[in-house]
Amino acid sequence: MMPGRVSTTVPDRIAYARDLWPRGLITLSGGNPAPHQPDAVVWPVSTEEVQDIVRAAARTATPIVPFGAGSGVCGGTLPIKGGIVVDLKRMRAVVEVDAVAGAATVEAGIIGEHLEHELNRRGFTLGHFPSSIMCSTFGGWLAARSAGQFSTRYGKIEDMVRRVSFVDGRGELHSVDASGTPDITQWIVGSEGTLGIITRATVTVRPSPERQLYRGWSFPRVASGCEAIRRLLQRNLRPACVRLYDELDSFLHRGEKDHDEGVPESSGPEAMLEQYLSMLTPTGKSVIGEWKRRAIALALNRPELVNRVAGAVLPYAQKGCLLIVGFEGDKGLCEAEARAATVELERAGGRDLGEGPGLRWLKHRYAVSFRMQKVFDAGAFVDTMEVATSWDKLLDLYRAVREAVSPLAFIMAHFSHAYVDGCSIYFTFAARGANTADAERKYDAIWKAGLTAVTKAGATISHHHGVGLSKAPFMPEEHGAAMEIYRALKNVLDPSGIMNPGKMGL
Amino acid sequence: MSEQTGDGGQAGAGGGGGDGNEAPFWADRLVHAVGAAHVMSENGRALVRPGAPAELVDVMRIAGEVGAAVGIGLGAHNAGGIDVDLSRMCNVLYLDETSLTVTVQCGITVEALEHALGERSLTLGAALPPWSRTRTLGALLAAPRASEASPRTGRFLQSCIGVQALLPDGTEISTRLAPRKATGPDLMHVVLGGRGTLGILSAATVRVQRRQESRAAAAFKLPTLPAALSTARKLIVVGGRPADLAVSGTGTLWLEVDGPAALVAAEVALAERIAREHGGEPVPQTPPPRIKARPHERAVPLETVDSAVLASSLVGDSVRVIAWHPAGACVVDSARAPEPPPADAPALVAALKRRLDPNGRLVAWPGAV
Amino acid sequence: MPSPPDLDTSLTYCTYCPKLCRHTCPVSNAEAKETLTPRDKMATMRLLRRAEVPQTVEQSEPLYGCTGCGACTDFCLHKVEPGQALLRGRAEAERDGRGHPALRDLAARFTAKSTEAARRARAGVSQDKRPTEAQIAFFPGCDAPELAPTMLSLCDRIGAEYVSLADGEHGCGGYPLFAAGQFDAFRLHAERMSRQLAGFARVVVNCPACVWAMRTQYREFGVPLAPAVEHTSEFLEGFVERLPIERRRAAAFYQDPCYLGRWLGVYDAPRRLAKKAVDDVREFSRARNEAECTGGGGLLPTTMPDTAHAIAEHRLTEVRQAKVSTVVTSCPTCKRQLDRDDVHAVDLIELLDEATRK
Ligand SMILES: Cc1cc2nc3c(=O)[nH]c(=O)nc-3n(C[C@H](O)[C@H](O)[C@H](O)COP(=O)(O)OP(=O)(O)OC[C@H]3O[C@@H](n4cnc5c(N)ncnc54)[C@H](O)[C@@H]3O)c2cc1C
Ligand code: SF4
Ligand code: SF4
Repeated sequence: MMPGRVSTTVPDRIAYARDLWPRGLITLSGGNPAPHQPDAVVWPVSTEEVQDIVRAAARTATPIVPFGAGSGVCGGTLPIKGGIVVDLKRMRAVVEVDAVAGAATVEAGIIGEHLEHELNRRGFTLGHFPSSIMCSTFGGWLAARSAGQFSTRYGKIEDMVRRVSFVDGRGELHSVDASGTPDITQWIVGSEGTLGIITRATVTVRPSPERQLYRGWSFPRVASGCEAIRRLLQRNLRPACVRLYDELDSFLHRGEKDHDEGVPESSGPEAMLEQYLSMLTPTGKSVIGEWKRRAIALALNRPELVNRVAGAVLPYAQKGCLLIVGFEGDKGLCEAEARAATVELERAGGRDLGEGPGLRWLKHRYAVSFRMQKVFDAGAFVDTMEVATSWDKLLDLYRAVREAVSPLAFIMAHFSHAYVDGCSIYFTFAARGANTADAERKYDAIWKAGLTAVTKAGATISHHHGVGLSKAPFMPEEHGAAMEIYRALKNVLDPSGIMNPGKMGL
Repeated sequence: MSEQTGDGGQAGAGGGGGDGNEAPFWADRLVHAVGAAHVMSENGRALVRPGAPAELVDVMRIAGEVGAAVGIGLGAHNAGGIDVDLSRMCNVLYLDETSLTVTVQCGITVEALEHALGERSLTLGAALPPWSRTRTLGALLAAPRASEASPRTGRFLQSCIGVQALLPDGTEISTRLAPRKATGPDLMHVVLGGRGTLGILSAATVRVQRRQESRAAAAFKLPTLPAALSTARKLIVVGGRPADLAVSGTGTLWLEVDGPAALVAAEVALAERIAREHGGEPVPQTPPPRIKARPHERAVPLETVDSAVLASSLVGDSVRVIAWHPAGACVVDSARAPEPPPADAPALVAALKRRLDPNGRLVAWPGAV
Repeated sequence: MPSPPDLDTSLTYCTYCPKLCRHTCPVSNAEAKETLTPRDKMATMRLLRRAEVPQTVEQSEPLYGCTGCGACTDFCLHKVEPGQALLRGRAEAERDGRGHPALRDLAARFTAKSTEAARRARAGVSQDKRPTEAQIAFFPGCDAPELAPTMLSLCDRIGAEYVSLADGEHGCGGYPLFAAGQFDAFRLHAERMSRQLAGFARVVVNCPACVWAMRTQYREFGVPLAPAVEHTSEFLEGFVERLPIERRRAAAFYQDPCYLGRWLGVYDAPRRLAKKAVDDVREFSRARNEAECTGGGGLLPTTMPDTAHAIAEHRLTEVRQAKVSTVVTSCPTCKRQLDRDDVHAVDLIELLDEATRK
């Protein structure tokens, strides 16, 4: 079967033993590169081969882990029970772009950037730009309900789906339609490989935007910024992107504005803190030498102090919270929307910062991903917690998570992915452990504190990163008795339980 | 659906209280649960009207214990079983004007809900067709029709962000409310569109819309029907978001837009530009003459709207394409009778049904609600 | 271009990187294998150096899945250079006796090919065009020695009859030895070339990888090189307004050679020249600094021949979709990689020669 496309070599097994779950990076930095290795890796080229693999695995009760590009940040692709990793990246055809219906049919394994490039060549865009677009796959997006930076206009990936084809845990192929009743696509999208392997899907595409208008705005507080976003959305405006940085995030963001090329120098928690501490000195000059080193060490060990000071000082020291608002699409609509938005944002108390910050964001919007390396290199860790709730509970959620995580980590946030009825919050936190074991312990404690606060606030524990292994323990709380439905789906589609076992709290 | 006659019949037979005009032997227990005024029983079957979720839970428990099948919705005609009528469960539980959502019991009719919302200048959305106004929210969500959709928000059930429901075994579920989630499959979509066979919706949270600052309607006459269809489709594909959009069999296109004045003007201008590209002209006749009685309707993917329309019984003003949205449209034909509900559930739904409801406790939602 | 971080830092950055540049890598794109992403190749190298994985031939193999194209570096905000770093990894593998099996007798094969190339170049060139000292001499490289007479006659036609052949025992600048991580052999060869080319003031080299190696790596290895080294396209650009064009091709794509483009920064010269001889010079949707590699570098055709072929096939997709049958390039390796029955790959020298013939 599949000559040259099955491997059991050591290097391959090591390479497929990781994803981008930051906890795995902590373990890796401790000198343990591959605790969970698959027994084999296969690269099917067709749906039939996928079916053959699954059937063979079902017969022998061998675990199967579908694999896109391994950019997942929740341990979703870790073969914790061994078995076969099915890498879908050889199934990467853009099968059809239907210009009339505005739809594209694409195989699951195509890398996001490649898909967008192929669509652009034909005058279209998917409008899906996760920060991981260069290192994740179409199938992975569907499997984990991914959200792009422009989701406010184009929707999350599940909003674009018109048809999904997948091979279930028995090797049977299904093709389901979003116009069906019930909408079975929504059972499969988000199932993170636990119900089957997505082989292709048809999604809505849009003509490449004729016009892009991005601007920066400043709001005195997080609350007034959120209120402004809510009004925009509820007045029927659909910005491509809205992004409101809280005081600390705005502050750090502002530091980057002079760096037009390369990685912003404010990288990693040390650098973030350095910048932050410099602000607290009377002269505003960078703090130097021994004092700086000690202050940073103190800050990473006693994050609650920094967080508290940040909360108390930043709103006054800073010029408020930065909001990026962008519109794109048909020229006429886009310009009209931008005009209407200006009226609305001014009415909500915003100060127009002009196109500069908007264009800078647009240009550097992927740069932040390059920070991670420096953080882990420095022996610290960083992770993100992306949660969502309705507008009425949003600020409570923001405060609750900050309060819960503050004693344990340095934390900041931005608000993005806005909807008529609510919004997501993207927290970034960083901390350091005395050693690997201590870091792992701290890491787990932060997540536990954070997500407990999230569920208590009535919000969802994940807006777009998915569940995988890391949030599995919180699934019963998230879904309550409805987990029974998920288990029933699992039983129907994967009776022998081979599909990505051990994940999603099933 | 096979379960309906097979498993459902079996359950009904097991619980059936005999023949003739007798009330089933378990009718008393229902009376005890919901009160005599809300139970009607005859011919071995019963119609109950629970007034609260707890009563619905009781009814489900009784049905489980006596092995009676449960049909949801007025006129279920569930021989030997229990018909549940949710019309008393019609309260607005929570109106969140900040988030523009309403949590409401599923027995409420669209009409009543729109009335309640209207008092706060809110609405479910302009595009729901008049013939859906007497349906309950539960019907809209559990047994959706193709016409219940709008260009801006898609199918009506996409406005739903959370449900409270009872599974066939009586388990109460309540999905977590958030604008979007990435915590596995969207489990609510098992009950939504499940026609009452996979669970009974007791309450739902749906998005509502606020009356907008400005509103405009426009109409265009296109030289041919295909040109009108292309115009509408192009408008949707390039990202126009009218509140309502319809094309008649004679090639007239209507749209309604609302929002900030600048946007409204731009939306109309865009529609006009595309219409002109297709040889069309603005015409004063607005809004479209309403179709009053419930017509034949059919969902079609966007790419095949033309052929679906041209294949209609007669291409005249009785044929309309309404409810345009990115994934498709709905062709209605008022010269033809409404279509019967689908006979068979997809194989996957049937399989899930066997798992969630091994005894065939819940029978299919009747089409004509 | 900002300089890359030091090797240790580079390896660490890649190890913790979310594979941000993976979409650019021709090798991991063709093979769709995590093991071959720039991140994982670099991580493997780091693990090997830290002895956290077995020191085996098998474990070292990913180090050879790189064409050195530099596409990853172009995208990387840290400007890490896997295409260079991995060659150091290959050198370490060679040192420890876990080098790639297909390269075991490379040194011998290299010498044979290099001397054979010199012989073939010489064969088509008359004695008077082979002085041992000259202002400007042409060095065709080992992949296309047959271009020597073509280039010299083109030079005659454009008024550069003073260009001669950089004749000598060897016909290769040594890039293959460098790419194999056989650094000692490379240094020896560089010293040989330094002697062989000592009599020339300028050498025009047609192989971009060797231009790059001779310009930058000889010095790195402490070997002085007397003549200035430039690429054919850089030299010919000086004549672009004086080309006696007789005929033009209708349409052709232009392929940026990785070493010429990303490593040496030469994008416009070959385009300006090609435009003289082609009515419609088409651009690939990924061109210039984003140009995709054709799979010929880094010894990939030797270590992973099927992959090298697949990379080239992928690059040809757009050409075939556009129903164009010519690709112009300025690199013998790219030409070899792209030439097919239905698509003709031509070197800039051949193109200009054909265009200027009476
Ligand atoms: C730097 C960085 C930035 C990121 N930014 C974003 C962002 O902006 N928005 C966002 O949404 N996410 C983001 N992510 C998270 C991640 O990229 C997404 O979760 C993405 O959807 C994963 O895609 P993948 O192809 O890498 O999937 P993988 O990581 O390979 O897999 C993810 C899960 O899906 C399953 N799976 C993969 N393919 C299939 C298939 N074909 N069929 C069935 N199951 C499958 C796997 O088994 C696994 O459980 C980011 C990650 C990183 C590292
Ligand atoms: S070269 Fe740069 S982008 Fe590529 S893996 Fe290394 S650090 Fe990441
Ligand atoms: S230099 Fe080219 S082949 Fe090598 S790792 Fe980078 S992108 Fe891949």
